[in-house]
Amino acid sequence: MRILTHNMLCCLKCDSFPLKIVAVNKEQDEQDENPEFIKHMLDRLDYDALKSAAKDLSIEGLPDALPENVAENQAALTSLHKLLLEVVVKDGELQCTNPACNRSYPIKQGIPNMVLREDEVKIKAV
Amino acid sequence: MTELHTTSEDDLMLMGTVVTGFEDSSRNEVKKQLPNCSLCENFFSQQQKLQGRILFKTPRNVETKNKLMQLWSLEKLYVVCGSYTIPGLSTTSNNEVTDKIKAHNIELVTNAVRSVDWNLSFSAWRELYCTFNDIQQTPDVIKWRVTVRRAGVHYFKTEEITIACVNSINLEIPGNTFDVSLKDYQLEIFIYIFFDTVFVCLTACDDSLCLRRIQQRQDILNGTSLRPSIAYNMASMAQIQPGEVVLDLCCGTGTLPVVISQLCSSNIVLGVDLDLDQLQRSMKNFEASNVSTLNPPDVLLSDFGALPFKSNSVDVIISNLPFGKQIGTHSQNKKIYPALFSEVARVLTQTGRVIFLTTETRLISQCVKNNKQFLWLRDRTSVCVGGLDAWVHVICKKSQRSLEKWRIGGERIKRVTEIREKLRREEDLNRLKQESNSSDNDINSTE
Repeated sequence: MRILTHNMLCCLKCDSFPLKIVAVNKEQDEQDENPEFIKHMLDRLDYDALKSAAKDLSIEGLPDALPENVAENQAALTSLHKLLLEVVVKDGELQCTNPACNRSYPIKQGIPNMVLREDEVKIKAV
Repeated sequence: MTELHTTSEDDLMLMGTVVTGFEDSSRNEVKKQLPNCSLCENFFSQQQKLQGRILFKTPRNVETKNKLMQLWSLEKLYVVCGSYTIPGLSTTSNNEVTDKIKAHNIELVTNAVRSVDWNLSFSAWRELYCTFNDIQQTPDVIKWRVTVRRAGVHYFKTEEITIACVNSINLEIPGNTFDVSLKDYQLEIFIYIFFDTVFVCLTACDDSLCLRRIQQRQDILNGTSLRPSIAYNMASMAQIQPGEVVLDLCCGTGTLPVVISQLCSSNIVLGVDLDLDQLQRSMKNFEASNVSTLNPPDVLLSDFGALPFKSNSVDVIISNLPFGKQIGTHSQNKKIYPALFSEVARVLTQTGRVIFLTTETRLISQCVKNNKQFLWLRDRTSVCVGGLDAWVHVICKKSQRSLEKWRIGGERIKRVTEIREKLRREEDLNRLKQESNSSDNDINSTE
């Protein structure tokens, strides 16, 4: 699972966002740079969620707020590319930050398991 | 007998099989990729439309060959060495067939086959065959066979015409370099008799062109995997813009994510399925087809009735939904489709589009109707998928304005009907008055 994907995921039970990443095994997957793609993605990104993901993975160097002219800033684009597309969480967990819910979703071989159990589905329906 | 289009010294006349129902979309792709080509009409004698095939003529050069390799929507490709219209070849009724008529008709076809310029056709075929199979040269002795397909009612049977064609071609071509072989052949002479028209073709590529590019192996694909040509057409219907989030529900072996990643390099592509085994296969597929270095799709294990995405976060939802009998049943679909649609309405952005391939048209209309404040069915196209009459549905999200209109709509409709009734009552009164006046006049006149 990439950080870009994490930026859209929310808890199935309580809709809380973002989910906390507990990474047991993560990889750096080399990719060709595509600045156009990052530029397009900037309006879609939830920057707070990105910051929390970086914190969970103990990646430092992310500014508190997104710089205004980030589209022209080559260094910023490169570091965003490294964070969004190259970091792959292979094994670990996604945890709901809502203390009342606290559901965790396991990640195995890079595939997060976002399926609720039968009993949980019924609770949601009620 | 009139001759139509043929391959010449400078031009290649090609026939490609495409997905039935997507002929126009394939024509557009060919036109876009090969700007110098001229597309032929699909209408022939008796106003019959050639289905599932397109014909086009392109200049014969290296560039064309490379461009042909990049086409998505074509499956098989044939070099047309001759096409002839023979009036009266097909009949409309089941007349009594005498031996004389049969022999005469067979002769008409074999004459057409004999008038092909074989040397020219073989050289054109050799070029394409070597390109598609990635070889330098064709073997010294070429093994060949003849396949005949017919559409329409004719005076002869397919077997009879096949034997006659093999015999006449055998006399035309040099015997020392060509050898008949029904199995393990390199050259397939494909004769397609479409009502009154006879196409004599040579098969340049006998499996899907894009399957070659996607490099999926048989052990990765499964029985219900989508054909890449259909995937391409679905993706082009979605009109994906750069930067949009594309979600494939029930991605299975991941054909759609692979095709979309190759087509659009600046999009997030996500796949969702409920079967972990299929997701692992799709991961293998991504590696095999080299998309992992371009724009890697991500997959999630999730139920499409409960998607783990934020509301208003996905632009394009594209899916080969469960339908038919290999996976799932109609009664099961009736349960899962409504849950799917409520999730789709939630996660889709304001400009979102949904492309669903399924045979369950009525169920889709029903589900769209149930979510009519959010979704509307913009378009649907009939497609032939593995012999099933499936439809590709294009569903759009309604704009915020129409949503508000819908909210106040109840009140507005009430007001409009009130006004209409008032008007109708007034009209009725007027008419009554006029009638009474005229009847008064009548009485006056009679008096």
